[in-house]
Amino acid sequence: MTGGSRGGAALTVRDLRFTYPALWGPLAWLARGPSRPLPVLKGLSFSLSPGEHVCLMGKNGAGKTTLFKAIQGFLDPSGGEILLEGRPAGREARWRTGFAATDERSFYHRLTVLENLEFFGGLWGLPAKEARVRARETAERLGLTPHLDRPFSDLSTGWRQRAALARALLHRPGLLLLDEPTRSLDAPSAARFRALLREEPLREVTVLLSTHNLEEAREVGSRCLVLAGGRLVLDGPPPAAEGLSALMEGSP
Amino acid sequence: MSGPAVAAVLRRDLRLALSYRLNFLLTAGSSLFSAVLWFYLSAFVTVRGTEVPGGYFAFVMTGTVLLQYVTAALHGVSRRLGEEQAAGTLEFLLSSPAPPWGLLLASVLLDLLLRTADALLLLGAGAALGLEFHLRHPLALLVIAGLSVASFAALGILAGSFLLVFQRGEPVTPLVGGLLALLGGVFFPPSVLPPFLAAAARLLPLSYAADGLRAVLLEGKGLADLGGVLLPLAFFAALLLPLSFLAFASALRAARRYGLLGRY
Repeated sequence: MTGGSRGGAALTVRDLRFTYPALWGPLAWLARGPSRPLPVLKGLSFSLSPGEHVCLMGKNGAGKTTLFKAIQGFLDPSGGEILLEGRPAGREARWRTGFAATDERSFYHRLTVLENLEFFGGLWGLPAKEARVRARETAERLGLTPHLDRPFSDLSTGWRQRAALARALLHRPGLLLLDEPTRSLDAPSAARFRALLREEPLREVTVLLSTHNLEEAREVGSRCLVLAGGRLVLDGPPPAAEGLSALMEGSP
Repeated sequence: MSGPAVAAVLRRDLRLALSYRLNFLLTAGSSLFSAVLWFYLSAFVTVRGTEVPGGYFAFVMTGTVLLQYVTAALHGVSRRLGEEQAAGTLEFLLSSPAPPWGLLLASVLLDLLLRTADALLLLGAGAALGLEFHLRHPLALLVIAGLSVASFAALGILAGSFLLVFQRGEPVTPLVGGLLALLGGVFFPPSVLPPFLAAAARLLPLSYAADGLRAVLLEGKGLADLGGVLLPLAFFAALLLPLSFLAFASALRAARRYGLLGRY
């Protein structure tokens, strides 16, 4: 079951396809790239309403991260379209989306959390002073303030996740993409992270969150997208555990 | 690219440079040693065809300053790109609203500013050791520096295009870097080389920049006297900059299409 396009959607994904293309023989060898096409997303269609919190589930390799990267502009889709607030997702769309991944490598480890946030705020066009004010405000809301002046390398995984979330929120996006934000967190930290989604400023933001945790999916929202083999096999309430396993294996 | 984005890149680079404090201090002081080295070396070096006021010391000091400057422009882009790839920040940067070409050029600004400070230190040390400057037209100096940096930053962006696709290994900086020391007129004038190599030297922007820099710094010449230097330098910049932007845009498209941005 898949959802179609809805009026006034925050995000509309229509027949989205992504295939890692094959590289020409010698080039595939030189760049150590694929010598055969590798299809990852095979015609996804769904939409998210403004303010909706939706979970994305699927086995490893189902295409969750590829979907996030395509929405965020890290990858160019092979086909289909992505609309943000009804407009094609291009460079200007980057103002409207925030992305937080589990990959902590995307920060400068020798800089403090505040210095990192100021820098990324600047990339999104915020003057230094405003970037600093917003970084402090966002950190305050996420409980990150005591760690702002610590080098990023000194933070534990949980605080790094919050720093990633703070970065994603700095430019006040309407759509937040969270790629397995609680993957490396202990249970209390994960619960606290999920609680943040119910508080300001995240409560009003449209959120697409990927997870392997069914309890988390139920807690985050009433709607769940399940991917299997690059296809959307469920768009509806989070299923029961046994049903989810069957869906992920590709059998309805 | 917006002013706040350029300022953010500059601030980030300065903070990162200062976070390696010992390296920063050691690099800052290294110019003084090379000034002393060239001073004593020039005491017994005579090069045929050198008609530069101040002799070999003046020749090699100005050449060294220029080489440091253009090397910063040439290597800055590819070095920064490689560091961002390894740090895992490249994917995020190139997916921000800031234009990729702007990010690349902004990422060499700090290097160029530090090289400017280094050049002043080096030339100051040269002056203390008896080097005489006759700088009467600072604007000419700025124009030569600007055109040289533009040409070599363009080559650096070309190198960066290779890195986007192959992550490591690009043919541009090793090739150009090797040719610069040999043919660029930095340590000796191209006129002492065999005729075919001397002719090849005229295909490098650095040899024109070196001639121009010496004419401005040591002979007090101005823009009006430098047509033979400025026109080729402007030609190289006008040719290489658009070419490098096109190459980088193509490499970025390929990286997004093939999913190479997150690789390192």
